[in-house]
Amino acid sequence: MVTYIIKRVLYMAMVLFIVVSITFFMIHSVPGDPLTSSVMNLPDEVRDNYYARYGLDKPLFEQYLRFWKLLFTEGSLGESIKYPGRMVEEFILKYAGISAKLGIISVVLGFSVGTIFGILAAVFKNKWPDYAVMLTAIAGVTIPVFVLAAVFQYFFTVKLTWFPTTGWGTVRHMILPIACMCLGPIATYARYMRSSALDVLGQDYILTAESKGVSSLNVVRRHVLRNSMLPSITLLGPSVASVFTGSFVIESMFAIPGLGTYFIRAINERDFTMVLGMNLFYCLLYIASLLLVDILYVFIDPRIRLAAGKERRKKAHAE
Amino acid sequence: MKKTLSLLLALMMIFALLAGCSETAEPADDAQEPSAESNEPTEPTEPSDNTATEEPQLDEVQYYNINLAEEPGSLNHLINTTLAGGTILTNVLEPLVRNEWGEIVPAGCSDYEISEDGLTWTFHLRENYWNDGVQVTAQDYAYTLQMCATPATGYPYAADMYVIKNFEPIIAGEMDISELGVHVVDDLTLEIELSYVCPALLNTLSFMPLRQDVYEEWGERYGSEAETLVCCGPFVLDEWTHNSTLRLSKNEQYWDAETVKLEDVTYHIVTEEVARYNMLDNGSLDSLSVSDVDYIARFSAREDLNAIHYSSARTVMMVFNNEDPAFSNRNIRLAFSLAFPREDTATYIFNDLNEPAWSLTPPPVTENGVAIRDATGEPLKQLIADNPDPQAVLIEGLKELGLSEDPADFEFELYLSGTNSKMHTMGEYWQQALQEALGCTITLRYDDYAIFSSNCSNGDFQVGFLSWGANADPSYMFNLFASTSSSIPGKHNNPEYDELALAVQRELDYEKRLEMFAELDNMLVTEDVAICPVVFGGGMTFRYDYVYGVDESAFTDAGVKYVYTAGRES
Repeated sequence: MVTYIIKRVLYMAMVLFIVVSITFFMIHSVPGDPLTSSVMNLPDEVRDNYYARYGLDKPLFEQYLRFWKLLFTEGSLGESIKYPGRMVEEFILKYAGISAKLGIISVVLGFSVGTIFGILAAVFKNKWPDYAVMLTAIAGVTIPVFVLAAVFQYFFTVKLTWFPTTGWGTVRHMILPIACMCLGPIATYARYMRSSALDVLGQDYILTAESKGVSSLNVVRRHVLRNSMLPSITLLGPSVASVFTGSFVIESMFAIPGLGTYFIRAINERDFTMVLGMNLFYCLLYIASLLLVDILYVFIDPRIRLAAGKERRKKAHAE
Repeated sequence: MKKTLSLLLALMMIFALLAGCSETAEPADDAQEPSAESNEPTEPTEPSDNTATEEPQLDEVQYYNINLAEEPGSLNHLINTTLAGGTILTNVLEPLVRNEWGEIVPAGCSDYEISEDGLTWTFHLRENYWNDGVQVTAQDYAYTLQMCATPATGYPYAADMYVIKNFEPIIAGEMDISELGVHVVDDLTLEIELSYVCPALLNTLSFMPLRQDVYEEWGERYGSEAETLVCCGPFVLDEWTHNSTLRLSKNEQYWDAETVKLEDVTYHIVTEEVARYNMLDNGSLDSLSVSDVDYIARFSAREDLNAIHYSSARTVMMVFNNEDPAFSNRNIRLAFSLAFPREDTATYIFNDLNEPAWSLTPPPVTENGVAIRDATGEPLKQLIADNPDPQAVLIEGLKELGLSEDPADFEFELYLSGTNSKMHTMGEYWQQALQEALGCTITLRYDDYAIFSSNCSNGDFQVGFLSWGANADPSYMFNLFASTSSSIPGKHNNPEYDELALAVQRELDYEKRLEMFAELDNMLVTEDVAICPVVFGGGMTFRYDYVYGVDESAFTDAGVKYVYTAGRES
């Protein structure tokens, strides 16, 4: 297990390096740079000064080396070009937390409610709870989040004035964004859970359990839930990563100062340092969460072995 | 029974959501006005009818909530290029003079004198204090100008400052900063020397103060957070939650604090159009510029909202690449401009919020009270009347170029500065209308503004679509098309035009200036056909009827200094 993790971490570093390198050269190959509009009227000498400030006057490869050098020697991702005087790592430290707060709550809600819904739908297959859950699920998957946000905002802040329209700071500010963000996950998890739970319910051991006289509640709790959770866990990994980067749509709709808006705008504005820094951060989270999910598998399903260790195999045989 | 009930419930849920969908998906889609720089004016222009009525009873609690279209890039006025940054800065800093209700009035200075030769301007400062208690001195104003002239600052608007003596050689690194034509006579007297006579100086430049000690203390972080800024304007920046809100409160140290009624001002950074409309709808915002037709209709029906139609002082235009093989020909350019459907564009594309343009400068640009647009007499209209068949002009041009005389063989590209659906609607409409009128083939290209402007300045375009904001000084817009300016692509090059554009900046006689502007406009739009004016930007502001004292003039920098509320339901 430990060797496996070390190996995976090394792979991770490699993937990270490759992704960031590709991003670097890709973003620089797109025409237009962040300073064009600022320097339009400047004399050449001043223009050079301006570009030098961000190292943009150097050959591309030198800029590339500069990025890594800055990262390893000073632990810095560089200064944002669009927001002068503010460092990229500052943005991440300050705003990833806000995005994460919303994201984690909606993932936890989405996952737990979705799982319960899915099991209910499977257990009451072709009965009304099943139809209700599946209709909600279809709605949750098909309605784009910006529509949902607009509708929720209109009904709950304009028509009913229950919540503030936009802003950040109190619990009341969080309710609508979370409601919008967790409907999609609820739908997705419910659908996955339903189909895999149906699969499990058809297994022989369920029949055995039932014939032994185990109550339906215990069958679901002890056998169905755990055995049908794997597909959902697989989905959970990537969604944990996106939690920190925030939802662009939700954050701009509710004026939440999270990371999502910066991430998208940086690309449009060719804020090179910001794009790279954010990308590095996102990529790191993504692959780390994949590893975490792989480790989680072992605990959920003992049949899965990450490393083919001799002892473990023996142990499994003994069981 | 249970089954049908649940089915019914679920169906109802879906219908409710779908109904919401058709209602709101539309406005969310076409999010922006066609401006290339997408800066929505926060301060509208035409006078509202509520300023003239009898003195209203002031509300006890004075606060004001407005929208800021984007996050300010920086509140360091030496490097800020965002409109949002400028909006905040006019409220927290005190410039030497302000443009209020269309007039230049003393602000940071109590009065100023101009020497007989017009080259030395002396400003006498008021007794004003920074919010940390330090007095504002002439040195603070001089420091801004010195920093602007320092090459390392990279001041983006340096080209506008060449009027200050020795600014140009200093920023080019050819002269020492001490030679700058800015002198601190004493703590309260500032003297600015000009390199040429410039009657429109105070219309062109905004002189903001900068505290050297604070600037040096924070360095590059100056103006990036509320804590790294000192204020000396009507308001103080208390809190800056990036990408969400900026909270300002009244500056008790301000010299004119008596006039300032508002205690708290909150700027909400809401980039999503629908969210902004919702905020106005429920009173979270007190005032908002609205561009969506459906919402305009909805808000117009509200009795507690005043509708104010304003001109955004922008010109939407097509710029021709004068170095393109085809568009270097005047007749080709003229044919395009003659055939362009201006009125239909204003009506069908911009819902009559914008008005058709036949000249360069938008209506709020005036010289001594006369709109430049009116002074020009709009000769393009006459030209259109004289040439009812644009296709014939195109064929003439094709002949001159030695190309096939069949317009069907002629193909060119229209380049648009944006990729949103609104841009596509406009592009496709013009493509169709122009192809019909000219009989040629038009292809369309769309790019984000960054890519667009970079390609255009490299000459990689034939006809480009852009919009440009005007300045209170009319010569600003005309200067953009001088061969020395690189602001607008197209490489318009006419020595006669350059000469006149330079001369008008130094002309003192208003009558003469007006004539010269008319002549410049004629050269640009009808003689050289360097551009094809499309429409003048405009919009609609909705404001609750309890808000008073908003300066609606186009070039105001009064900020929210004079705003107050009376009769707000608490």
